[in-house]
This record gives sequence, C-alpha cells and structure tokens, in this order.
Amino acid sequence: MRLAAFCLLFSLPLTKSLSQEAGGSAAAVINPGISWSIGNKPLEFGQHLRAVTEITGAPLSKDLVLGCGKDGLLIYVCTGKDDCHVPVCSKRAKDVKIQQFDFATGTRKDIESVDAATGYFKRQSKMLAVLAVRGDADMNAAVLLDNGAGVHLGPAMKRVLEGQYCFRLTTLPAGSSATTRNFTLNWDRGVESEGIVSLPGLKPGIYSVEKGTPGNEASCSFDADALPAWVLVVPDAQFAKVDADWRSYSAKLNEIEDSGASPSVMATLRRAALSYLADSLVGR
Amino acid sequence: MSDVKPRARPWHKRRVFAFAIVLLIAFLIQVPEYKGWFAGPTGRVFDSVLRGTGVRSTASDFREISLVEIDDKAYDKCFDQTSPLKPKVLWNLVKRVLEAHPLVIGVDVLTDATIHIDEYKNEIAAELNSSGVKIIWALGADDANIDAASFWPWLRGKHDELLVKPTRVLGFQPTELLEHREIAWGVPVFPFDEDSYIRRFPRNVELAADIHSSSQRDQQKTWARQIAEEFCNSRLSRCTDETAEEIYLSYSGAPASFKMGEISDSCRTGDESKWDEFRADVKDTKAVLIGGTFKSSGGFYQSPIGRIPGLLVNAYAVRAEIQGAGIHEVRQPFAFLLDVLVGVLMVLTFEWVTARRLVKGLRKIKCRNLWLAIKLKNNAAPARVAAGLLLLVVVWTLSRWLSGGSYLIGIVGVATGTFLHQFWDLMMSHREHQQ
Repeated sequence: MRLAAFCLLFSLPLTKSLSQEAGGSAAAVINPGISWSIGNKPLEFGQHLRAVTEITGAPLSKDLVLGCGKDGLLIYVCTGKDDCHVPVCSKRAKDVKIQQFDFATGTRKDIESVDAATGYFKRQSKMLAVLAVRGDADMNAAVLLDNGAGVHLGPAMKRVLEGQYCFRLTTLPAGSSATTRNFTLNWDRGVESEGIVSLPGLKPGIYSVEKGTPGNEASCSFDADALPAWVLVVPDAQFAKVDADWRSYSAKLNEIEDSGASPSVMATLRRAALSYLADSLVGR
Repeated sequence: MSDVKPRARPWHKRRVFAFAIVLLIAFLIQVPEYKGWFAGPTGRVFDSVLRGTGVRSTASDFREISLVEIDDKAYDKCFDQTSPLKPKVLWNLVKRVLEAHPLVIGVDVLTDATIHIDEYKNEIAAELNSSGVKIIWALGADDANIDAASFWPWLRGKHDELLVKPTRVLGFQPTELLEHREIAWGVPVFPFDEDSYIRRFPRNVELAADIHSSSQRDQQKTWARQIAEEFCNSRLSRCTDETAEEIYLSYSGAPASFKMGEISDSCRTGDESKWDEFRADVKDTKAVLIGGTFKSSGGFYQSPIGRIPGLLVNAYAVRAEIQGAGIHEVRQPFAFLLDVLVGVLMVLTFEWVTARRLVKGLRKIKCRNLWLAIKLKNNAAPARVAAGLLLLVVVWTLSRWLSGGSYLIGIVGVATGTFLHQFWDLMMSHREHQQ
C-alpha cells in the first residue's frame, strides 16, 4: 500500500500531459510598405507570416512594418542597389536598415502579455493611408486624462492653433457599429492649457478624434482628407503610469521619426503603441 | 578539563537543519544536472534499457517498417558516386517502391541542390499528385542552433530548443512550400545526448528563416513523426502518443532491409532481385524508408548498439512513434520538488518515530500493521541506518524504471546525499550521547 503510493507519487508527473509551448505570436504585416513581396506576391496589410518566410524588397523598398510578438514592431528599409532579403522579424539583414520599437521601455515589464499586432488590427481594419504630410493644424496622438473635471484634450492639441473648434470622437474600429460623441471647445492655451471638456459617461479606451470648423446651427464641417488622430482616454487612477509609458514611447518614436521614417510609418507606430497601451490597460 | 557534558543539540533543531540540508543538496544537484555532467552515467543506465535488455524493451519485430538502402554498390553503379544524388535516378527508385504499394514512403535524401532545382520541380514534384501513396520528403538544415536555456529559466521549466533554418525541398524554398501542399515534408533530426549518443528524439522542431536574431518560430513535426502519423492514418488508427514531448528509441530488433539493387528495375548492381519478396513484404502493410547507407554519405551515428546509419536510427524512431513510446519529461520545477521529497523521505526514515507521529496525527493510521512499521526507538541507530539503506535501494531500483533522463540521477543524488548526511548526524549524535 505504502509502496504503491510511493510509486504513484513518482509516476504521476511522468504521465502528466503537458501542452507545447508556443513559440511566440505569429508575425503580421502592420504596414506592407512599398515594393516588398514574398515570391512575386506583394505583401498585404494584416497578412500573417510563417517564421520560415523570407521577404524580398526591391532596391530602396521602405516603410515595411512587421508586428513580431514579443519583439514588438520592426521597421525595414532596403538600402542596397539590388534586391534585399529579410527573414521574417530578423533584426540583422544585409543591406537593410532595421529599427525596432519593442514596447519594453518605461515601466512596462509584461511585454509578452499583449500582442501589439492583434490590438492594432482590432481597431485598424484596413491599411492606413496617409495622403500627404499634413500641416501643423492637425491633432496628434496622445493619452488623455479623464477625471472629475472632464477629459483633458490639451495633450492632443499641441499643434492646434487657438480658436473655436468642433470635435468628433469615434469609437474604434471605425464603421457602422462605431459610436460618436460631438463637442465644441474654445481652445486658448493661454487661458486654459488643459483643454478640459465635459464628456459624461465616456468610457476609457481608444478613440479617433477629428477636429472641424463650426458652422451654422451647431453644424460642424470636417476635412475629409485629414487623418484622424487616435487618443487613449484613461481614468485618473491609471493615468500616471500609462502617461509615463506613453512619454517613454514618444521619445523612442521621435528617434525613429528623426531617422527619416515616413509619416505613414510614424502614424502606424503611434496607433499601434496606443493600441498596445489600451489593451494592457484592460489587463490591469 | 571540565567534567560538564557537552549539550546535545535539541531534536527539533537537528530536524530543521536536516531539512535545510535536503534543500541545499537538492539545489546543488540541479547544477550538474543542468550542466549535463550526469549524462554519462544516466546514458549507461538507459543504454541497457534501449538495447532491449531492460524494462522498455519489446519483443516486437519490425512489422511496420522496411528499409530500402542506397548502399555503396548502388551509389557507385546508379549514381556514379556523385552527390547530390541524381534526381531522376532517385525518383525512379521511389516510383519503383510505389509500385509495391506500401502505406507510406519516407525519403531520407535531401533534395535541396541548386544545380538540380529544375529537375526536382519538373521531374519529381510535378508527378507527385498522381502517386496516390503519401511520400514524406526530408528537409535539410541550412543552419541549426540549440537555443539553450540558461540556468534559472531552466530551473523554472524552460527547455533547450532545436532551431533549424530549413533548406529547399524538391527545389522549392520553404516559403514556396507553404503553397505546395502536395509536397509532404518533415525534419530528420539526430539529437545527441550530452555523451554524443542518440537515445531520444524530439517530436517537433522549431523552424525559422533567421534562427539567430528573429524570435519567430514555426513548429514542425519531425520526419519520423510525420511518417508514423501517416502510417497510422492510412490504417485508420491513432497509434502515436500525441501528448508526448519526446520519444525514447528502443534499439531492439532490426527492420527488413533491401538494397536498391535488389528491387530497382532501372539500375542493376548485380544483386539478385528480391522484388517479389519486397512487394510481398510491404504491400498495404508497411512504411518504407529510403535513404543512403553508403560510406561517404556521412550519415552514421553513435547509438547504444554501436555506430549505425541515420536511416536505421530513423527506422527506430518511426517505430517508437508508431508504438507510442513517448515520454513526458518531468518539468524541472516538479523534478526539483521530487528531489526534495525524496530527501525528506530519507530524513523521515531516519527519524521514523517522528514520521509515525506525523502520519498518525494526519491520517489516523496505525502503523504497526503496515509495511515497514518497524518500531524504532530514538537511539536504534543500526535499524535506522538499515531503514535508510532500504529506502536508498528502493529509490535506486525505482529510478531505473522511471523515464526522464536528467531526472534520474537527481533523485539518486539527493537520496544518497541525504543518507550520508543523516548517517553522519546519527554518528555525531551517538558520540554526544556517549560523552
């Protein structure tokens, strides 16, 4: 009896079924860039890539952004005169400039808990098209505090000139099921730099925000060509940490921008970063 | 000289110290296990098992697998001693085997040579759809690496991973293969234990286009597993152990083996034809593995039965897969806890009276009628040592019956270490009493 129990004790762990460890999230094309292909097929937005895949870029191909699981986002530019070849999510490749945005900065340690690509695709259902470099009047991606006083819109209006504006906040993903909130603000950073607006009942999370010009009888006209900015609305209790992470990300994103990344890539990275923060916010 | 007797340590302090020693030994034993220093002794235990003399040996003959060998004679006469092997001749051999209608064919010949890409694609791949029988092709490694877990992650349960950058198969790049579902392929692996012997196979291999700087991995079944699963599927049975992480190879018996020259109709080597025998042997019953056993192939590996061709190693692996001889490796945190448990049992064996009280208190079990319920008194040193020795023998004996490689020595090491410590403690205790 005792011996049997002893044997059982030792054999139980041996027969225990253990699941295979996942080898990380599958790579995904966040931004297919220009002139990148697999074989002769151009890369597509949202395409999932097997780890054995090798991507080919024509000379000077650029703007390829891959979501690479725990490695974050990788940005590729082909620098040679000939075709360049990049193994999926490789951090070293001949004649290829590779930049990494890995989310593992600031206070964040749980970098494997949220997959940035999945979060991004959940909100951005088609390829991001940046038609042109916009002027300084556009709003910018930001993390916004929502406290008892209201939503602090100021951080998203760094480049917006003073004036009377109307705004449209839209839940993501955009589409028929999206809901919107409209409001107006007399923006004067000399008087009230936080840009506080009262939006009772607004849930924390990511929204796209568009700035328009007020018309007659509470109407508002929006620029159809303008790229809406994404903002992450965060309740007071979590704001300090999320804002610190965002500042850390912003510094890194600015480095990538200064190195010559295109507006399209930068908009993609900022949106992916906000998605990542939003998803990790849910997990907290 | 003082006539004051030295004070014996209080019994509870001795026990706390003993358990601390158990923890220390169990932890220290992890280091040599991690370093693989026990591979030699562990391997020798397993060799006796895997040769077919031990508990895991089976009397099974090779009912499931036959080999077709490209031997030195065939390499000379059919392939003009040229590597990479000529695609057309290889394909003729495969087609000949197809005529015998086995359940599945495994081709352990790499088809990645750039000089033959067009031939592979046009003369072999183009004809695959019409073959009917599944053919599993071997995929080679452009680059391979063991992603070794460092000590602390290893202690928490992380494993080493075999990473492979795959080569072409039948002329197609791995990326292209994803679109050619008619080409079935697997990765033949020959993983050495730390003492350079092949005893166990992983069931999956991690593939990546960049095995050094990319964290992306595709999990692919091994060539042997692919063949075994296809074999079982064709018999409408599930004979592999899906949940096993590794398989141990039993090197008992040997498969039926035919030389290329004995079955080929397009290439004569002077061997007597055994076509009828071959066809009768494999028709609708067997998996046939085709591969090179010629000396210059370089595909020979050290095993418990000596140096044998990789083709034969794979045959044992396929059989192990078919027979479901998989093992579930004990994760290191469990192994560590079990090591500790063995040590604790050893301490309790020495302190039997305490153990009995504990059991009585917890389970209300009367020990006098149970096995080994020896009425030991606190100072019954010889009986305690005997009981400890008995437990040590039990552990040694049981450990021989347990699978799990590195796990094996850990138990024995902790049991032995704790036994020695307890024995020493007992001697010291006696000396204190005598003084």
